[in-house]
Parts: sequence; structure tokens; C-alpha cells
Amino acid sequence: MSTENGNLLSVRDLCVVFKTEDGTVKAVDGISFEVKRGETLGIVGESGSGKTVANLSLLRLIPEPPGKIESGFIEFGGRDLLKLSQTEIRGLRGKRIAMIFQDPMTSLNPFMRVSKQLMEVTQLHLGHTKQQARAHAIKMLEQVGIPDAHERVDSYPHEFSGGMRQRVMIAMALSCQPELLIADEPTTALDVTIQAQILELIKHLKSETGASVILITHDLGVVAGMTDRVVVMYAGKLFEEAPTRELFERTANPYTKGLLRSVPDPTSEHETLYQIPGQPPDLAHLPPGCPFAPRCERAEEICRREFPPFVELTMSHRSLCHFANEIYAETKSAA
Amino acid sequence: MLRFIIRRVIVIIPMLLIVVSLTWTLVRLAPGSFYTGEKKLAPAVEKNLREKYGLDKPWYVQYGKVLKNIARFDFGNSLKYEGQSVNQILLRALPVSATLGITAYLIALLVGITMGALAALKPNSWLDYASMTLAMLGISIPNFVLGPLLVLLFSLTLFWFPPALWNGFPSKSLVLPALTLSAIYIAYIARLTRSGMLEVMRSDYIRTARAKGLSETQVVTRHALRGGLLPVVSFSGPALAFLITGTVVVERIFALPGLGNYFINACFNRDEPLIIGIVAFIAISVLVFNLLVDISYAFIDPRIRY
Amino acid sequence: MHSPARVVLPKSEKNRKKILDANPKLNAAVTGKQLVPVGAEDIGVEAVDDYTLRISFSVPAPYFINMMPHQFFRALHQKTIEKFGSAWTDAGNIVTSGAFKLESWKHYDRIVVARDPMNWDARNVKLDRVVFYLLTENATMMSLYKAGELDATYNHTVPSAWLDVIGPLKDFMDAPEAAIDYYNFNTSKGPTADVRVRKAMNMSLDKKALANWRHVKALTAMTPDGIFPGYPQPKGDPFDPEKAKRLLAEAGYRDASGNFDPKKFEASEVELIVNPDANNLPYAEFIQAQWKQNLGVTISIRVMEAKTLSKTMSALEYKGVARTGYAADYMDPYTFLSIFGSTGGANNTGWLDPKYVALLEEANRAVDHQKRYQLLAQAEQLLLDAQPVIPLTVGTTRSLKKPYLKGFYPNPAMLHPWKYAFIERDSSKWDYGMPEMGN
Repeated sequence: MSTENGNLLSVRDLCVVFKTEDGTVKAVDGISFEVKRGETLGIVGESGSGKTVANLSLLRLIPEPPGKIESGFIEFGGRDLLKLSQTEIRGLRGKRIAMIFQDPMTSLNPFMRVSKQLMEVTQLHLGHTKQQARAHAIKMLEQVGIPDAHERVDSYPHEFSGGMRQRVMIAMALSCQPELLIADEPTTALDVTIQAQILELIKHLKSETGASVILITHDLGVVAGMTDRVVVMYAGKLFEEAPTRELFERTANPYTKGLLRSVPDPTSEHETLYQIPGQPPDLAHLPPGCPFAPRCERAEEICRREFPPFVELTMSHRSLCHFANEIYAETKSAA
Repeated sequence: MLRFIIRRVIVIIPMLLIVVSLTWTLVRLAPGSFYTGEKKLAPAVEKNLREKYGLDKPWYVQYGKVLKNIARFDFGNSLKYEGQSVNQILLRALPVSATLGITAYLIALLVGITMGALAALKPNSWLDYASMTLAMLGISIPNFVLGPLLVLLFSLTLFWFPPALWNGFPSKSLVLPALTLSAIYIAYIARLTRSGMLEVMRSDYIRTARAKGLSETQVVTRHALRGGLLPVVSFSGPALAFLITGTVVVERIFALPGLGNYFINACFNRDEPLIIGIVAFIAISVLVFNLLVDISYAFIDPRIRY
Repeated sequence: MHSPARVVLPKSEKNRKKILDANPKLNAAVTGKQLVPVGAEDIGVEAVDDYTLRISFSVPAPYFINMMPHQFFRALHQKTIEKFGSAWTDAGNIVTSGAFKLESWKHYDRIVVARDPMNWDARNVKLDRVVFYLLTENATMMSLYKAGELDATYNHTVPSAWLDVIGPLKDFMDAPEAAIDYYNFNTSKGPTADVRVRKAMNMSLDKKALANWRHVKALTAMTPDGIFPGYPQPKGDPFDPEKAKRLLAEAGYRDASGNFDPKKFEASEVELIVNPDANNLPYAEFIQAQWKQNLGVTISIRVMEAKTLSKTMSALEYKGVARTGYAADYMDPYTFLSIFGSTGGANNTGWLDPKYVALLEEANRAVDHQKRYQLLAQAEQLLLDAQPVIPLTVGTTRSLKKPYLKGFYPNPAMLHPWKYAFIERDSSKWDYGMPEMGN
């Protein structure tokens, strides 16, 4: 099952395009990354950076049309997911790769009892009978910390609070013990106190089941305590990839630097939060050089003219920037 | 829930009062009366007939009688059909209109939802365009054109179905009127289903359903249809109420002895008790069916509680 | 409809009250009148024996014998009516004396009659059952006929617009009918109070063109021609637009040189009111065009729903001209001429001439048939001279019949003796074209 280097998932040169009124835009432009068994990978970027599209593409869930996976390989368990038939890919969804979405308010079917929504997955993938599926659903709800699970299993989603609904989503995602859990902004729509509980739950369940996790977020603060490695995306491109600790201490990319500065620091005296100046780029009209150049503090003439190289700083640390080495060196001396 | 129903039933009363009062006033304002005709009645005869039916009393006495009749759901005797009560006529004509209307609506639901759902699954495909063009035609072709066209094709050219007459249910002669009547409802339902489904298919919980590994058919039938058909459900209340209480044009084209036929002739005859009886019945049907729709909402959408 | 027998009331107060309460029309007729005990012979209707009915008259009514086929004179079963009251006509209640008895009657649907085995001549009645479909739309009837669901249709069922197609078919039964279409003038006010204007408006119409266009017969008099043999029917004024203009000039609508000037005519004071049923609107548009073409006057058309039109006409509230028609109640010119013998009823013109009334009365007193017809014709001539109406067209039967339906003929009074009708299985004996009467 496992591929070389213990990678569970390996994405190579993935390109996803969308047809819009302004023409075809590359929402994901040639990104590559791996997820090792048991590892938690963070994918970070502002909204519109392509992180959600990239992950929906893993399960081929982007709406086609207008979207289209143009090229690349997605190797999972030794097979290229892009070459699977519809039936085969459906067999993976929810069973070996499961997803949790951003808004638990809308991600559960409001017309269907929670029990039925949970049972549906195990009946489909594990061949559970109704009784088995029901017992399993209650067990899963207990596992994610829903009190009186055997009573509440027959409730409708609107009868749960936001945090509880996200727990239901997690229970549903983990029902078939997936090898990979993709959590797309799982806490963004929740209150701060609930956020911490949900993150803690994911962390806990991950350690119990040994699943790999991809945690997608716009908030670098979230990845800090959760992930082993981090991938930073901007304008559909992979800007930096590094082990979490290294990224926080020695980033080699001005965009990551901006993101790091915008993480609220509880010890800081500053009243206002830092924001990267300018707006995320319009994918239909990207500048010719580095897509981040118009917003970059360090941008020089070359940045506006030439597309930056992917600089390999260490075995596990890469950065897309003309000045990656310089910044890396600076952060080292600063550290 | 019970309180909600009681409240709504109570609301029916003033609504009914308004509808009946308006109708009664309009009948009164219309020139001529039941006794106007090409061959005139002797004045003494007309006077006595008016006395017998209480038409000589001051207007408030007559109006009071109308209200009393409605309260008891007894509209008195028809002027035109001597010796027959309005209720007898309603009982005789309603099954015809209801059979036709329900058949037509079932056809409309079946065809309309299928067309709309297919169109929504592949938006902007040829299937979508074909369905929506058909729906557009269904809305724009009036039934007094469509009916004769269907007759021309299926009765007079292919000789498959009779061109008219009432032979009960089920019968071959029900096919063409039901189809004619259903056309516009097919069109409405197809369009409502399409937009409802498109809306739902974009929603997050459909993405969740797909991410679970459900097939597209399962996604649609288990998850999308219910929410996607909500607009169809709210449309169904008034639509069904109007359908089963008779449709003048189709009943006339196909010579069916339904409520619509009685109603239009009651108007021409100025048969006041019959007009008021039928209008009150239609009004009650519309109000009751709307109530039923609201109640059914609670069953379809668990978020709604009364 | 009440048969004469029912006019006789029981002597006992209690029984009489019961009947009067059950019958508002009768009640109306006797209210406020002194009731005297009468026997059947006192009102001139008398059963002489089991098979003879004697009706005596206080005034001469030579047309009376022609009224006998009317439904007024059907024999009814008194006990049935007393028992069921207004429900006596329901299937199962009604007792009839004809060859067929009522099996079922559903409004707007059908009436089914079955051969009555108790009828005196039941052995010669050929059809087991006749189904009458009660259809309002002629187009629907045509479809049913074409689809083979009907064997025959009643009079006036072929729409005018279809005559070009249906007219040449061998199924088409067209014969003159005792029914006329005409327009009333309001002689009580406005320009049409002047007989010259009325004559001019009549004369300026090319009725032959109208008749040819709609496949009907033109009508110039008040009685349909060809229906009453031996009746010396007067002719109304012929189509003569020049004379029409002269008459209008005489009536004051003239320019300085004395010629007719359409601009002077008070066209706004004259309207043509029609109800939108059947062919009334195309007729009206045709006539409107004729007035425009021949007089240069534009008369506007107002469409009015039938009851509203009736009311407007009888109150003489209309301006100028209003559409109407009349179907004979019995086969005698008097049925049409009597319309104008009083101001009530169907006379909605405001015209009443005592000389005309006297002529009608004199005619009906005449014992000699030919003499009576001459007097009636004189009266009709007087009517035509006064021109309170524009006669337009004579109705034609315009019905359809399958070739295999025999013993069924076009009929000017629309009364078909069903007992003689039958289905012919032998195709060599089928009718191709109008059947010869008497077969």
C-alpha cells in the first residue's frame, strides 16, 4: 500500500483551471506536495489562494464544468486518483479519504436526521446493516464528545449548536476510519472557545486512529500547535514548504513573513493587527513576474519582470522567491 | 401545530366573507338578472318568482340570508336547475373536475419534476435547453390552442383517443383533457424544479454527500430532491385547489360536466345561489389547500415548527 | 313548461295550496285573483273520452293546429308531478308517452333515452337507445363527429367558418329553417326614430353578399321564405345605396347643394350592439363595413354579453341598432309577425302600430286560409314599410349525418321523430347527399 518514503499521498504538478467570464483561470498552478502516513500537513493561504480547490481536486469534487483538473498526478495508496473511474473514486471518498468542511451549519443536510446521515456512510462503505450502522453512529457521536448520543442521534442538524454540528461532521468523516482526513477550515465559522475544542478533538482522534490529516486554514496560528509540516499557497502556487517549527522560526518567503506577522500575538502590546497591504491578485490578470510582487515589501525590479525560482534551502524547506536565500540567511542571524 | 391550524382555520372565515361579499356585490351590479331573457316573463310571474326566492327583500336581508347559508354550508336551490340544490350540483360536478385536475397534476408532477431535475443535473446541456424550451412552450401556448391541436393529432389523425366526452376514470377520453390541462403545470413545475435543484446542488450539504462517496443518483434522490422540491410544494397548494375546482376552458373544449362548466353558465344565467356556492367552495378549497401546504412544510423541512 | 291540464286546480283549499306552493309560476298567475271552482270544460280543455281531447277557443286561432307539436302540448302524468314536485323531470321519476323513455340526464354531459317497450308502437321503433350529448362548443362536436363518436348533429352545429370545407361533404345537411336573424332599431329616440334613416340603413346593406359569404339565405321580409307554402310573402326594400343616400338627405343630413353628407350624420348617436356568441360578431363587422362603404358612415360596434344585451334592449336603452333573432314556435307566419303585436316580449323596438295589430287580429278571425295569409301579408308589408327592424338572414339547418343513419331528415322546426330513425347496415342503401324525404 505505502509508496516510497512512507508517503500516503503525493501530489505532483497539479493544475486546476476554471472557466470564467474573463477567460480560463488557473486556480491551482502546478503544485506538488506529499503527506506522510500519520503526519499532519497544514495548507495555509489567504482566501482565493487555491488551497480549497487543490484539496477538493484530491477527491475530484470540484464542479465540472466550469472547473477542470488539467494535469498532474495525485498518487494515493499507489494509484493515480486522476486515472480512477467514477466508481473507483467514489469508493475512496468517505472511506479512505474523508473531508470536513468549513461551515457545519450548511454542510449537514437540514432535511435529514443526523442518524441517517451518519449511517449512510457505513452502510455504503462498510456494508453495515441498519442496526450495525445505527450502533456505529451512536458510538462515533460518543467518541466526538456528544452527550446523550443515543438520544440525540435522531435529532435534526438544526437542533445542534455550531460546535456540536462540527463534531457530528467529524464523527461522520471518521466513521470508516479513513487513512486521510482533509479538514478545510474546520473552525473558521465557530466561536473562539469552540475552535480550540474542535482542534483538540481532531488532534486527539488523529492520535487514536493514526490517520494522516491535511488541515487547511488561512490562519497560521491554527497550524502552529497542530501540524508537522506546512505548505503556504498564494495565487494558486506553492510559495513555501517547510516543517512547521522551521517555518515559524526561519521562513524564507516574504509572503509567509507577512502571514506570520498577521498572527495575533497574545504577548504583544500592539493594539492593531498587521495586515499584508493590497488585495489577493485577480487570477485572470496575473502580473508577469512574481504574483506577490505588487504587495511585497522586498520586491525589486527583477520580481516584477521574472517569475521567481523554487529555491531548495534544505531537504525539507523550499521557497518560491528570488531572494529566498537572502531571507533565509537573515532569519537565521535573527534567530 | 394544533394552535397554528386553529389560527389558520379562523383566518379562513374573514377571507371567505370578503370573497363571498365581493361576488355577491358583483352579481348584483351585473346588468340583467336570472329572469332576463329573449322571451320576457309576465311582470306578475316575475314578481312572484322573486318573492319565492326572496329577491324582493331589501338588500341587507338578502345578504344576511347569503351569509346564513354559507355558515350552514347550504346555498339553497339553483335558479336554473329547478328543484336541485347547489350542494347537489357541487357533489355531482366536483368528482369530474377533481378527477381531471388530479390526473393532470399527477402527470404534471411526474413529467415536470423529471424534466426539471434532468435539466438541473446537466445545466446548459442540450437536455437542459430542450427541457426549458418545452417548458417555455408549455407556458406560452394557451390551452384553448393546445387542446384542439392535441385533438387534431391524437383524435382526428391517429385516432388514438376520443376528442371529448366524459367517461369516468380511468378512461381513454380522460387522456387529452388531462394532457392539455397539465401542459402549463408541467412547464411551471419543470422550471421550479430546475431552479430549486440548481440552488440545492450548489449547497454545501450536497458537496458533503458527494464527499461521502454517494453516487450522483443517490445524491440527487436522497439529498437534493427534498430541498429542491420545496418550491414545487408551495406551488402545489393553490395549483391543486384551482385544478380540482374546475377549469372552464378545458371543460368546455372537451365537453366535461365539471364545476368550471357549471360556473361559467351560472354566470351567464345570473344563477346567484349557484355562483355564490361555487365561488365559496373554490375559496374554501384554495384556503384549505394553502393550509395543507403549510402543514406539509413542517413534515418536509424539520426546521419549520408552528 | 306546463301542460294545460296542470292549469286546473283542485277544489279543496288544502290540496290547492299544496300545489300552488309547489309551483311558483302557477302561484304567480293566480295571486290576487278570485278563484272560482272550474271544471275542465270551463277553460275550454276537456277530455271527451279516454282518447279524445277537446280544446275550445274564445278567439279564432287558426295557427293553433301547428302549435300542437310544441312541448307545451305533451301529455303528462299528473300524479307524477304531484308526487315529485319540481323533481318530476328527473330520470326515474318522469313518465312520458313517447317512443323512448328517459334513462339518465346529466347536465353538460348527456341525456340517454331508451326504447320504451310499453309504447303502443314499440314494435316499430328501431333504435334501442339514443344518446344526446349536451355540447356547448361546436368545434368539439365537429371533432367528435369526425372521430366517429357521433352519428348525427343537431341544427346550427357546423360553424360558418368551416362551411367551405364541410359544405361539399355528403354528410352535410343544409335546408332552410324557420329561424331568422335580424337587427332591432330603437325607434323611440335618436336618428333611428326617423323611418327614413331606418329605411336607408336597411337599403344600404348588400344582404346577398353577406348571405353568400356565410352560406345562408338573405332575408328581406320578417318571415323566412320557402317555409310556409302559399303564403304571399311581401318583399322588403332591395339593396339600393343611391336611394338610401337620397332618403338620408331628405332626413336632413345634406350639404348646401342638397346632397347627402356623411359628415352631417350623427354617427356617434348610433351604435350596433351585439352579443359575442356564434357568428354575431363577423356579421356585425360585415354590416359595419357595408355602411362605411355605401354611406360613408362609421357605426361603432359594441359587444355585450347576452343577458346584458337583453336587458339593454328591452329597456330601449340602446343607441340605434341591436342584434337579435327568432326561431319559430310553430309553423305559421304568425309566430314571427306576432312579435310586433305588442310592446312586451321580443318587441324591443318601441314600434307599435294599432293598424298592424288590427290587421293581425282580422287575419286570425278569417276562416278562409288563403284570405288569412293575404291579411297577414298585408300586415307584414306594413311592418316592412315602417322598418323597425333590419331583416338579415334565414337560418339554415347546417347539421351533419352519417350516411348509415336513415329516417333522419333536415327539419325546419328542429323536431326529429326519433322513432323512425335507424342504422342501415347495408351500405348500398346509404345516403350520399341529402336524403329524399319519405324513404
